[in-house]
Formats: sequence, structure tokens, C-alpha cells
Amino acid sequence: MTTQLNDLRLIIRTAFFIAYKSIYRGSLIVKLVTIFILLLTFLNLIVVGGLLVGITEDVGVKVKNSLTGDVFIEPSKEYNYIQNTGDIFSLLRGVPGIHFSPRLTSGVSIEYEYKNVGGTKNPPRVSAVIAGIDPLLESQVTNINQRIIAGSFLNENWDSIVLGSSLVDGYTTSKTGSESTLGHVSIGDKVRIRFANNNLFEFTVTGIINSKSSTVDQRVFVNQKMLRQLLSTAGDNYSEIAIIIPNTVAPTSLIEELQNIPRGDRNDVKSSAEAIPSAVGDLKKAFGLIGNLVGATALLVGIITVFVIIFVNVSSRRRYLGILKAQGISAPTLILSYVFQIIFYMVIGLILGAFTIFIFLRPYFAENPISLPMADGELFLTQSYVSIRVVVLFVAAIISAFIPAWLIIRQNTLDAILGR
Amino acid sequence: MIKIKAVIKNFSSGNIVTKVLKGISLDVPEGQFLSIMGPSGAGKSTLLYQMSLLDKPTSGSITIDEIDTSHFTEAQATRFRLKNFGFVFQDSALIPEFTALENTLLPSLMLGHNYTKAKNDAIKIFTSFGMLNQIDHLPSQLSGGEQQRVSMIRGIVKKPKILFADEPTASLDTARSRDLMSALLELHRQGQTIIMVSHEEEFAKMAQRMIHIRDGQIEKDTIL
Repeated sequence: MTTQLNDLRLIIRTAFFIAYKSIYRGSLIVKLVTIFILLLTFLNLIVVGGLLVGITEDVGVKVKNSLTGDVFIEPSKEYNYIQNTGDIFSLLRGVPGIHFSPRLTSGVSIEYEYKNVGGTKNPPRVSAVIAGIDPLLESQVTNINQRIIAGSFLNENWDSIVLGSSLVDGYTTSKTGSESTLGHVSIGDKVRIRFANNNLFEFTVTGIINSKSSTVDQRVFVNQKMLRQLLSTAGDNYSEIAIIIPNTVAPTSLIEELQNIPRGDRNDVKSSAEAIPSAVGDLKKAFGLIGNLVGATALLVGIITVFVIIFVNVSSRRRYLGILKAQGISAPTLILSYVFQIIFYMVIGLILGAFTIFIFLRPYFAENPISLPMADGELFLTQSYVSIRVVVLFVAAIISAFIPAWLIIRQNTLDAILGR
Repeated sequence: MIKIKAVIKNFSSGNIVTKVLKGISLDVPEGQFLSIMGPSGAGKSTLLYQMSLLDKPTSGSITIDEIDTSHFTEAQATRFRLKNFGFVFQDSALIPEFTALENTLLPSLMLGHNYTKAKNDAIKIFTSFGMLNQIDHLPSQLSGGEQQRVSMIRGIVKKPKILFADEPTASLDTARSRDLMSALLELHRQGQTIIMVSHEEEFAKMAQRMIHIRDGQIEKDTIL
């Protein structure tokens, strides 16, 4: 055992000596190319995936900030409205730091330019969800009042309405072309809402909202009291409640408490992550998969390039390596010297990569996020995300150096010396 | 020191078998300077490769210091060469990124010698070879003769029991070849066992004993 440990120590010492001298006096071009390849592989592995994850994370953030809050309550499928809102409000008011916004929603049809259309021609008309909100409570829970891109947020006027940007032309790029819109609606224009009970009411457009959350941008917002009158529904009927909780309260414990109130099981109480629409969840999964595929491709290209560099290097030194083996320098020593070299290049590549990412790219994308219709893409990096990729790259680089070195060095010593 | 008994070496290529060594037996005592002579293709280098454990004979046995090497694995042979053998090849084959001194240090480091001691030992030999001023030169900064001397220093710096030299003068001009032979003779005077292959009779005759090989067999064994 002691002898084996001593042999291992000698192998490591000699391999380190060979690696150190080879790096110190090796070809500058080869060194730079190797480091550059590893740097690019690292950046590709971290940045592309990080941006895609950043976009998907921001999709969730946008939904949370504009619709659901930390905890979101909806009625179960069997019910039209949330059950036992009295106990829910009492519970929420009893927890310091909690803010909540109860909303009343309904499916409606919206018409525009109905006064200018005559005969058999129909006015522009879209189906949408109308949300009756208390602007003050809503501003404590979501940021939709800050996402107004034209006009202003709901005012005190009874006929004030804010339209989601997906319902009008000229305010968003998220439309696919197949979605119907009201056309070019301007602030101050009138729109007419047709309710399920056939009530008709004319509203004045006071603002256009673009939250980058598709659910919100396909809604229209009016004052809750007005909507309640138009729907002729009781004062304790609510369709959804968005709740913001302080850091001292765990979402899971609040959810449990809300489910445990009388008739609480008739409500659907979710965390913000659970409340994300399934299409958004699918999008997150798809982006995550694309990020991993891009990373895997980058890794593959990187390690193949390193493999080729090491293979060419070892092949061109086959004779020298044969002579060293003849002198008694063991094959594991020579192979390990190549592994040490790639570890050194890897460390330099990682340092440069970390410098590029954390000093330049992350601050840059924080200042200039990639603006997409459904989110703003920043470079999303967590310790585990980076650590896993660093370890994967290290292992891949070591393997890509080990295999070509092993393939050449394990060959017959005499054949190597004689160039056979 | 080395006992070779009925060593046969065949090379096969497809169905064709070439018999290179045809049952050679030979004893080389400690401290002897043996030269192996013969025409091209006679099998002299092949014999040296069998004796130095760089190759395995098809049959026969090679015993070195009473150790039968027939069943050595590649790793065992490498370890044995490290501890017991030094080599000088026709081409010095020095590692281009290593200085002359660094090229000679690797076997000592692998043997576990202290770096400073290994370096001092090597410097002593460089001094005795009149090459102290070249220890920090890269191989590309040395002449062919100097490179071959560095190769020889690399072969002897760990004080091997046997120094194998395969056509060490083949790539040198006459003057530099004589210098190298003088160095080998000096080593022999100090008790070094040397086994050298040469096709040049002038240098082969400088050894203590010379064997002629022809068609894979010892034709003549002469004490000089």
C-alpha cells in the first residue's frame, strides 16, 4: 500500500513537471487556441442556457407580478365564485404584511366603432375577460398600474376602462396575426361591452396595458363596483384573489390555512408557480430543453476540438514519448501530464469565462434585457446552475484529453521509437 | 549480469514469417563494454531491443541479475528499465520544450530522487562532459553532437546498471562520433556496463568485446 502510494506520488510529481514545462514553453498559438475553445465552450454552456432560463423565469415573474401574486385563489371548477370569502378576508387581514386584491371576472364581448358601421357590416368585435378591480388594492398586489403604455390607469369615472394590449393594434408585437383585435383604438375612444346577460354598456378607454403576461394583456379592466352592478352579482362574490405575502410567511403554510377554513376545499388555492398557465409551463420546459440542447452541442463541439488538439499534439510527439517510456517513464505518467495540461487550460478558460460573464455579460443583460413579447430576458445564473456546468465541462475536458493521450501512449514503446 | 538463452525472434506479416534472431545465446558480465556488429538487417538492433526489454522474444529467455524477465508485463518492464537501464538512441529525441538539463531529469524524478539532488547530479555530469554552459539551452539551440551528448547524459544520470546504445554515432560526423565514443569509453573505465550496436567497425572495435551477427546468429565473438 505504501509502495503504491509512493509510486502514485512519483507519477503525479513527474507528470506535473512534464505538464508545467510543456505549458511554460509550449507553442503560444496552441495554448491560445485551446484556452479560446474552452472559453467559448464555457460561455456557450452558461450564457445561452442562462438567457433562455432567464426568459422563462421572467415569464413566471411577469405572471406573478401582474396576475397571481404569491398565492392565488380561484373557485373550483364546480363553482362560479370563491367560497367563504368572508373567512378568507378575515384570515388574510389577521396576518401582518399581507396584501390582497379580490377580483370579479366575466367573459364578455367587446365592440369598437359600432357607431360608424351600418347595414349588414359588423363592427370590430373580440371576446375577452373583463376584470373588475379595486385600483388601490390592485396596486398593492400587482404592478399593472405601472405597465400602462398609453393613457392612464383606471380613474374614478364609472365608465373608465383599460384595455389589454393584445386586444388592440399598434401596441404589441405578441399577436400572431390570427388573433382578432379591435383595431387601432385611441385613448378617449368609446368601446361597448356586451355581457352574458345581454346587458350592454359603453366605456371610455383611459389606458392600454402591456404587462407581457398574455393572460393580463388579453383582459380589460374596469372598476369593480361598476362591474358588480352590470353583472348584478352579490357583494361577496369574487372570481379570483391575488395575495402578496411578506418574507416571514411561508406560501405553503398560508395555502394550507386557506384550504382549512370552512368550505376552503371548494376553492383552488395555488402558489404563484402552480398558478402559471399551463402554456407558460410548457414554454418554460421547451426553453429549458433548448438551453440544454444548445449547451450539449457546444460541449460536444468543444470536447471534440480539444480531443483533436491533444490527438495531434500527442501523435506528433509519439517518438519522444516512446523514448521517455524506454527510459522508464510510465504510460500513466505521460497520460497524466496531458490531463494536467488540460486542467490548467480549463482553469484559465474558466477564469476568463467567469470574468466575461460576471463583469460584462450579466451587468449588460441586466441593463439591456432581451425584450421578447412575453418576457424580458436577463442572464439567469444560480450557484447550482453554474456549478453543475463547470463540473460537466471539467470532466468532459479531462476525458477529451485523456482518451487521445491514452490511445497513442498505450501503443508499443518500440513501435513509437521506430515510428512504425 | 545478462544471460540470453536460445532467443528467437520472428516477425509475422500476414502469412509471411521472417526469422530475425535464430536462437542466440549470450552472457554479458557486469562492467563489460560489448559492441554488436553486423550488416544491415542482420538482427543486431533486434537483439538489443530484446536485451533491453523494449521487445519480447518469440521464444528463449533473458535473465538479468538472476531475474527471469520472460513474464514481465509492459508496466513491469517499464519499471525495470527505469531502475536498471539507460538508453542512447541514434536520434537523440530530446523533448523540444525542455532544456538540456530538464531533459535529463525526468528518469531521476520518476525514481523518486530529490529534485535538487537530481539537478546537482546532472550538472556534475554536464560538467564532466564539458557542457555546463549548455544546460539551459533548448535542443534547438544545440548542435547534433551536443544533443547526442545530452541524450547520453539522460541515459546515465540515474546511474543505470546497463547502458544500451543503439547506433549512437549514426547521425554524427566522424569528429563528433569519436568524441562520443571517448565519453562511452570513459564511462566504461568507471565500471559502467555498456551494450552498443554499431555498423561502423572503427567504433565497434573500441569496445572490450565485439560480436558479429549475421542472418540472426552470432558469427563471431571476439574479446578485444
